Amino acid sequence: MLIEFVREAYMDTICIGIGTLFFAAASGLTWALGRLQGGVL
Amino acid sequence: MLADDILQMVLFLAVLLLLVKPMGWYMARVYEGKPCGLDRVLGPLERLIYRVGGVKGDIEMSWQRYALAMLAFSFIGFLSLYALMRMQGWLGLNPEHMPAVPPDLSFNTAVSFITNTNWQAYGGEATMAYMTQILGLAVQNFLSAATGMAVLVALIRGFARRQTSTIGNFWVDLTRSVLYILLPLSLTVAVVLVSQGVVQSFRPYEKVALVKPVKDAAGTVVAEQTIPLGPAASQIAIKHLGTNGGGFFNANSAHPLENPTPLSNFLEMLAILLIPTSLCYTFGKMVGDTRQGWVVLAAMGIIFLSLLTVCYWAEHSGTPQLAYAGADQHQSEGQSGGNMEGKEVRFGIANSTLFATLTTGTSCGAVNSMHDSYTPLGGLVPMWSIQLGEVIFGGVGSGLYGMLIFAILAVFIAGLMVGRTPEYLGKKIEIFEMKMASLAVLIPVLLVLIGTAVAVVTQAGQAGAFNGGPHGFSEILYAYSSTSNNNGSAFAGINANSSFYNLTTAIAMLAGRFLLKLPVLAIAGALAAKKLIPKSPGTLNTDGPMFVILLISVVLVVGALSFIPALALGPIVEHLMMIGR
Repeated sequence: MLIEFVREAYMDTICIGIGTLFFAAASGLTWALGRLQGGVL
Repeated sequence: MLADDILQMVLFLAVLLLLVKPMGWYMARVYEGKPCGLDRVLGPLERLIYRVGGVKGDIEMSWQRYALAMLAFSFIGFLSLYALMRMQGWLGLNPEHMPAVPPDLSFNTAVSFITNTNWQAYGGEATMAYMTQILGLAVQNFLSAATGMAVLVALIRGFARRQTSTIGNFWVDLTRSVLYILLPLSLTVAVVLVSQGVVQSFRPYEKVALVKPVKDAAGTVVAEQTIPLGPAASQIAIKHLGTNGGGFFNANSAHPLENPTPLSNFLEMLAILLIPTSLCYTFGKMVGDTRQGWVVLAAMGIIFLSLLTVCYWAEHSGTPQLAYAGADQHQSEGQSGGNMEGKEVRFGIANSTLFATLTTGTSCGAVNSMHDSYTPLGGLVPMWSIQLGEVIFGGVGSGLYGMLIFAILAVFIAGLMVGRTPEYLGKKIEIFEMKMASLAVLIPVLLVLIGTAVAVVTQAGQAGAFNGGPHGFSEILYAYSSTSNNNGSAFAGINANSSFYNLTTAIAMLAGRFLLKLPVLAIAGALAAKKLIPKSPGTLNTDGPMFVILLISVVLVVGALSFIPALALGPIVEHLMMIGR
């Protein structure tokens, strides 16, 4: 029971982590494309 | 009988075409903030939403702010849907006592519904509580569709405006899409679906006695059957209108309680295409030249009819194997003829292939037949239709902005070929726009090919496919085509509910949706800032038949160059093996 709980908590962290990382990266990409448009990059 | 089939298709397309102009005109009024009729009833609610949400509707956004608002909104949708599925066992409206959805499946499903993909690695009636269906999945059906429509409207404003740094307000576009377009249409379609027998209930599943008890594989007598129920009609309406495609039940629109009659089937198909086709007219109206919209619609329509013809012909012809076995594959009053494996008898070849072609071209992904059971060439059509980038007529919003990216590519290529100035709708197409357009075209292609390559060389990937050889390859290729292009339909011959597929397809869905939207919004911002160039003798006409041909050629050439090698390893070689036996 405890092992299952820990396993699920671990998987929850991984899944939410991947989602969070993706959206953070997409926000960063938005900034980068803005710089590219402005001729800075 | 062949005439019956053609008549049904012609009738369907005629009704659809009749609706394009009024619906497109209405949506243009909605997005231009002009009186549309419903604003007299829903206007106070719209203003209340802005007040509660702290939205200043009259303040416009740069493309970066627009993109960040869209990302933030989608991220919150992802977290809330994930949490809902993980906690559904503790919440109400769960008469079947469904436990929490496992983490990897929750992740895949949350991503799937916020990206408008609605890829389903689960069976709705065996996994989801009613609470999750109505508060999670149905809500995201509305919001993800509205997000796509908002991005399209931003791009159209980019073409229509001149020398401005803003492309609209994301919150306003989102709210108006839901309130004035998706909600009223969904309500209407849901009521008609209920009248046809689509279930709408909060009661627990029913157990009924079988007319004739049967024995299962173990020899046990089975005397009763469980009939799944639920608030299905309300979700099925938006599933089609929003080109979402996620079935309430596992069998999707092949389920008799999700699509019970020929009329419900007709209506569901119409609902899939209504908004994507009408948005072409909206586009023309908003850029001040409706011919531009008709040209885009014509290009989409010609590709669609060509693909439909191939799919129908392949399924109607059946297979040599059945002929050798002595099966009668001829169409008659008593049978549909052709290859009926995986198809509903009540829909036959015509309505199955029509549904398959339009659901895969539009990013809907709902199915009323199992694409895995199609003949190799018949199955190639839905797969290639997805791989062309979901632009034949495409998802709500996403289809047209995808096609406009191809239009930008077309004017650029034409400019290179004949030395004409690359410009579209009076806007000069320069290096930045071309970089962004290239990104938007290449990202889904890379996701499909890399995803498939990883799956076919790893044990975890191979374990999911139910078949070996070229058909197994097709199943995997279809899975990554469907998820990367946010279609959501499956070849139905793959077990996608494993950690490998749940995680990799989720990443494909996220990247396929948002990494494409960002370049589109960047193009919108760049175009809005440009001045309008007056038409000159060097300007390529984009409102005539020549541009229709050019646009079709670009879509097909990009699609062919990207995917024919992969298709040759799957359905094409399977077809050759079939006829060679």
